[in-house]
Amino acid sequence: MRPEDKRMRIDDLVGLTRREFFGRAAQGFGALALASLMPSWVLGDDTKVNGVLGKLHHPAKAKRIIYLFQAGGPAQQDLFDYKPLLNKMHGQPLPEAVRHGQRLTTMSAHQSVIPLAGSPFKFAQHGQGGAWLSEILPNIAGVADDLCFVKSMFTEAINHDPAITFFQTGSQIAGRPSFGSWVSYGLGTMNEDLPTFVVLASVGKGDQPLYSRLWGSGFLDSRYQGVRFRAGKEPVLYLSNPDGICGSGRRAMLDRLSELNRHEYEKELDPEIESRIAQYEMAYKMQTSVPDVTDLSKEPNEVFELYGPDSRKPGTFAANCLLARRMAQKGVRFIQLYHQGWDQHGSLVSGISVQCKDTDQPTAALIKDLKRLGMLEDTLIVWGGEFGRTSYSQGPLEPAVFGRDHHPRCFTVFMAGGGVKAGTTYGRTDDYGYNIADPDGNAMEPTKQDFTNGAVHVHDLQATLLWLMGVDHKLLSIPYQGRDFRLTDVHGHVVEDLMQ
Amino acid sequence: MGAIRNDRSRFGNLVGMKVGRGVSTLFLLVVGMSWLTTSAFNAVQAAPAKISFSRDILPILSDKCFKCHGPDSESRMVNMRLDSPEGAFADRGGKWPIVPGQPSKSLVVKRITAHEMPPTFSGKTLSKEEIATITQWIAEGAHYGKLWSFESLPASVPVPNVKSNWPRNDIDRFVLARLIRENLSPSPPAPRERWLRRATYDLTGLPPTEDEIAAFLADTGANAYERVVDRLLASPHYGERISVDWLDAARYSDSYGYQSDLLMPTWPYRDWVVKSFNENLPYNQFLMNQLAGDLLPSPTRDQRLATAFNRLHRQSNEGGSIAAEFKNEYAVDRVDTFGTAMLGLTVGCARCHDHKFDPITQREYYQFYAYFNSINEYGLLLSSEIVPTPSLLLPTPEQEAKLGKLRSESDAALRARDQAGKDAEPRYKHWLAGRPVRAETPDVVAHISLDTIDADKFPSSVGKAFGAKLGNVELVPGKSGKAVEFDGDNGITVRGLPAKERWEAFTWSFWIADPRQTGPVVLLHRTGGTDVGFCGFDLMLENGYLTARVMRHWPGNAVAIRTQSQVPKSAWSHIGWSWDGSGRAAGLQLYIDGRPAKTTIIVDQLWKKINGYGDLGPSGGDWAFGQRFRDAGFKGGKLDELTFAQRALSPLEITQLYDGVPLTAVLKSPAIGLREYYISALDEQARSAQAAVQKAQTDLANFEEGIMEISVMQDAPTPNPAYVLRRGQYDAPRTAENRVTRGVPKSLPALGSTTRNDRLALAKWVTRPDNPLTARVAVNRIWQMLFGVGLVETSENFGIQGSRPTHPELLDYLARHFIDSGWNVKELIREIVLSSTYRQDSVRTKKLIDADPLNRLYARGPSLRLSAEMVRDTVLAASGLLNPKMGGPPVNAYQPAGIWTENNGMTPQFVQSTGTELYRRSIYSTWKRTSPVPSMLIFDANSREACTVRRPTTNTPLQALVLLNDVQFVEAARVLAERVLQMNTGDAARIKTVFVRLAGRSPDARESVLLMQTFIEQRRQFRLDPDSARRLISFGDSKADSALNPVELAAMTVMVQTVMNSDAVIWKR
Repeated sequence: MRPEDKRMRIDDLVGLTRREFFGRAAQGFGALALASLMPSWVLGDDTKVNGVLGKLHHPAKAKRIIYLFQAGGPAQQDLFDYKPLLNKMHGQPLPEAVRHGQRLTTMSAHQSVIPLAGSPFKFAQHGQGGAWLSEILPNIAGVADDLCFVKSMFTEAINHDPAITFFQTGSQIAGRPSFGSWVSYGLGTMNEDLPTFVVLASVGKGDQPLYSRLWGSGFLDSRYQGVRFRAGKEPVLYLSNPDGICGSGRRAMLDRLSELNRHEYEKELDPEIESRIAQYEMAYKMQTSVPDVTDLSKEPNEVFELYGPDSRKPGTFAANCLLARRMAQKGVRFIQLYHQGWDQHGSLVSGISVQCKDTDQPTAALIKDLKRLGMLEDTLIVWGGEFGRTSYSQGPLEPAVFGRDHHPRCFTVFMAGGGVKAGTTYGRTDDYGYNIADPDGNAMEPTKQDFTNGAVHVHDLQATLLWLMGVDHKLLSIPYQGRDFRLTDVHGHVVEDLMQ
Repeated sequence: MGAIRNDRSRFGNLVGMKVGRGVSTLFLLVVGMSWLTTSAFNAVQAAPAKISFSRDILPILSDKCFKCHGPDSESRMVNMRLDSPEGAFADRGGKWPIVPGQPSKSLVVKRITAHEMPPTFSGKTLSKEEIATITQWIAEGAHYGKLWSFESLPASVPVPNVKSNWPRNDIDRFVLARLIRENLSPSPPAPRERWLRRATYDLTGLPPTEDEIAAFLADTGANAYERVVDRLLASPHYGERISVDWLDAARYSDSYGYQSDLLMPTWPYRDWVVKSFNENLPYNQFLMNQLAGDLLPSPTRDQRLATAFNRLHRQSNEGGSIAAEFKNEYAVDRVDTFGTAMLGLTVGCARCHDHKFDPITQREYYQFYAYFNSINEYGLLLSSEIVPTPSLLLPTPEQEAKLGKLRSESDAALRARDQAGKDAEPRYKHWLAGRPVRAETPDVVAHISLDTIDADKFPSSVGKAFGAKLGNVELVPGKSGKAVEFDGDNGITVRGLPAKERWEAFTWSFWIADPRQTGPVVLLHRTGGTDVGFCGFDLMLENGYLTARVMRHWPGNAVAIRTQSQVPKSAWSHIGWSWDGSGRAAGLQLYIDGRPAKTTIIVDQLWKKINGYGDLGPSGGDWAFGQRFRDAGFKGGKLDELTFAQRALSPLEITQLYDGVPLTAVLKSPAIGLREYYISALDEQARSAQAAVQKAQTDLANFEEGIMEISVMQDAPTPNPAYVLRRGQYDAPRTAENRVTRGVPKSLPALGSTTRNDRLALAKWVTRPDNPLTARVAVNRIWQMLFGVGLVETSENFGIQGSRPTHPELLDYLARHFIDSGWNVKELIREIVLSSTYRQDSVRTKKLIDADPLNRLYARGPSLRLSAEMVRDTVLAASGLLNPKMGGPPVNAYQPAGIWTENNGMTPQFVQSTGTELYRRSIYSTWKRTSPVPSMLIFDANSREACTVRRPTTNTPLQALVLLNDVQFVEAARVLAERVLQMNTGDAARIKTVFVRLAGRSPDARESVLLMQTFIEQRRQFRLDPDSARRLISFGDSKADSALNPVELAAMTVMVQTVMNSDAVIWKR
């Protein structure tokens, strides 16, 4: 039995019929089958959804999320957070007063000196909003006025595995539902024949690993877990018929199977059997709809030009961005992209340049493309990693080899579309890029317990993103192990200033 | 600016607000109705005459009120608590939260009827019925009590007296009594084939065979059912089936789970669990062995192995990790798993604050923690080969014999070396009598003065070795000529020297000037490991004290000594470090300024090899001074005059290296130590005895290397202190005030007197017959295994927020019976499976669909989808592919290529098993935490990253895709098709055999027709394209029978697939 059944434990008779439907049959029908029964447009109300919430807590600004996760921890000092002081003090030790006893990883904690490292990249201001951006992000600079930068993100974990798990599931401890599975659980689907929550990862990047828990459903039902799409012949595992089974043969077999199951239903009267029948139909539909959505060949040339040459290579970040746009059009609600390779402990200059070459143009293209299609306003795009990087060099401060260690105390993410305040920057860091600072540049020490103006904790970002989706993060919860669990644990504050 | 909603302040305002209205008379009406709507469906007891606090009130208060007015003092609002009568009845300046007997004077009633409480933003509301219930309870006197699950089990539970011949045993009497109250009656018994299939899956995880079905149908004797159950319980597959649930709880997995997710060699624990269930080890011992088998008097190897339960949590080897942080996480995981798996409590909630609902304080949480943090572990691991300590070697019987032999040979070699030293006396005297005029220090293979540098190399005056700079080191005036000064990050290596392994003897001699750093710094090392290497040899300096270590895995598998006095600060001091390759602490010696230093042994247990593993950092695996990759170096320290010998030099030789007085001069006036010098350096017999010691160590370590090793529990000699950690953070202040001692929560039975308050005391407490939770939790999980849902639905939580038992008396009866039977698991299962309740048919009726859609009252038998393991094992068994081999290292079943490594370049490659190993039962598949077998995950198996005691059962299109297209299922369908095509019968009989093998019953007429149609249609299809038939039947590793017609085989394969995908197979009903 699902824990959520407990929700409806004391219900009226009408509710029981509903419970029989949602609590039992719906387990069977899954999000996809439910959609075919109750597509959201049939519900005739903007705030009605076919997830467990039934109804949004408030009208949504964003109908869907495309989360461009930059795994490894991009160096904010070299991309977004312009710190001329670092260049001025290049090579000098990080003042103890700035570090303020904060912990370091054991990769640099024992270094006898920790020299400040200026960015070797040129920065300039862009757009009406005057956002400072590094020269290695020329295309993102071009859409600066569509972006909402948060320069004052902070997190708790200092190592990749706990940090990315925290960002994607709200807890450093494994076993919690991922962001996408929460959305899938709460809001349900907007399409008939594709998953609600899709995961795409750039191929061949290496570097810091990804784990299936990042898109897992934790203690929610496994039907809410993200469906991983892969580049290549079989975009979804087990999607293709075995070699030798043709379409018509499969169809004939499925028809007989359906009859067999219907016969069983007549004997057993178990609604699970009906749902089983629906699942097979859904699976059959997916065999067409998934190859359809992943087939980029019909996209016009100018689209490939927009996304850049990599967009013709399956599995690249560029191809995945284009694919994400296609999925957004088809009503996939949560599209999670991963791009690995941002863990520049050494050889930062060459490493980060490659990363920007991979991601800069496609990211900007996705924003332009959605805008062109009129979809940017209700599609929320998020770009960022699991933490930031230190303003000092890990290892010797030599141009070719210097790198930056993990830094959870401040880093940058940006968002676009979906009701966020475009062309703005929220929060700032001190002149060393080491601490979140107040408007005067004085270092602050925000905590997750209480909201501090100008600082955004991971749970705050999660709460804000959910808010934009029409969800109060405190009310999207599930009782498990004796308490109500939610994406934001017992924290999180919606940051109004990030919204239009 | 700012965040929307700040509930703390708003909440405070609301609570402070005045309310004017009194209790509406409406309530009195509602009270009377309150039970009508809840009784039939909601799992709670039928209409009670009187309100019960534990059953009726506590769930409401807990869910709706305790978050702010409960046990947690930190989150308590307006200092009002409702979880105790003291709080609820307190005078708050002429106002009382609750006035017993007088709802209208009770503040609580005012607030809830005005709908001010719970506040809107809490997301909680009270239904009319709940408000009425609370009001009625207050009217009845507001009697507080304990939560039902914290009440001790009654000595005996009266069995309801029901007049019916339906019950076969007492379980049925409890169930029937309830059905009668609800105006329901039991379903007729399931057809025999159906019951057999259900029981066979539930007890072995496999489908019944054709023979078993036939035998049971033919057995018309009185005890036919009993005979089946006894056969199933005796089957070795029983242990494999029942273990799956426990392995979920124990978070058993074959990989470490963090980042690179290296493989974790821990399958002997899994085999121990299977064996224990098969041998029907009493459940109390089953728990006790796992919690504290190591602390039992003279524990057996199995009892120590069982404690691996506490080490199955994830472990990290991510670069940059702080060991203390992870050590804390591991202890926390042990406590949480213990709480959920054994006590059914969510103790983990109290890690950061007092439990919001259950009576467990944060301090009590850390009292539990104090039982589990007291092992000597490092906190991070290095590689799959190097098992984190404490650990246990698990030699096979043959290995055991050989190991014993090698150990005694090693001891004998040491004794022989001692003897050779004694026997050398006449030879020594003879040598002295010969008045030797020249004596040297043999075996010196390097002497590097550091005075000259040539092309970045420091030459050695002897041998081929040389020093090399690692980054920048300063040349400064030295003890003699020049020396190097370190900056902490850079150092020098000495390339071309021997001594990589533990059996190689060596001596280092050099001069240092110690600037006196307080933290430990690396003076000299030859270690592996990506981060702080702890695998190899090193010499550390901490506040003037030297520590010499020989390690495989610090601190549990190592020998180490530490000096008792400091080296002088700043002045040049001479350091000598020798090792005789004996594998024991006695073989380590340190010298300061030419004299042996007084040392303390820190650890003295070393097995297996020490070096040659992992990333060796910039030192490249050579001896290196002054630095180590990512470790603290000898910053500001100076080094001069390095000498290396491939022998543990005698003290006299070390003195000579210190004072420079030539041995030849010593010989003129024979000094103390000359005898040792002679024995160590010159005497041929003694030297060969030393060589024999090293040889014996080589043989021993090399042999040990091949022995299975597993992490287990072993308490540190003195308990590691435990503290209440603020917000659960590892780096929270640890002070005398927040230090805690081991203990159990006050709300549960006291620990009682114990001679030693250790994990064994805790294990005894858990399994004491008067522990109210353990037996209830255990029998509930067994019930859940057989009926799909426990009598307590939330099998992971028997606390206040958990669900109430549907049949509390039955639960207590079963728990009492379980304890009285000697915690006999097989007997419990036998009783349930043979009950009339379990034997019922599971077919739904219109009436039951309305009355009890979720079957919480048991008016019909259980019906459930097969588990992930059962789904796969079924097709293996039915096709005959199943390899029934039990136990051993995990195997790699089919999975789509590249899954492990596609986004994890640090993890091992997946290598699919071959031959019959490909077809082992699913329990033996490699459970890889960050990348579980996708087909298993799709069928709701879990990743085993954390303790789980309930799996969901879903029904999704991805499941259809697995069953239709995964090579495992297609291949099994083909193999089964081959089997039946090889039969000398017609197609109808073949189809029937397929159906019986997969669905455990004969197909009915309609099913037979449909399946025959399928076969014919598919045959027609394949005839049109025979090549596609050939392609289909060549899917999978096994080869198709070439004697069969490919078209027939392909068509039959699809027919088998149709059966395989049908409800009749995927569900047990």
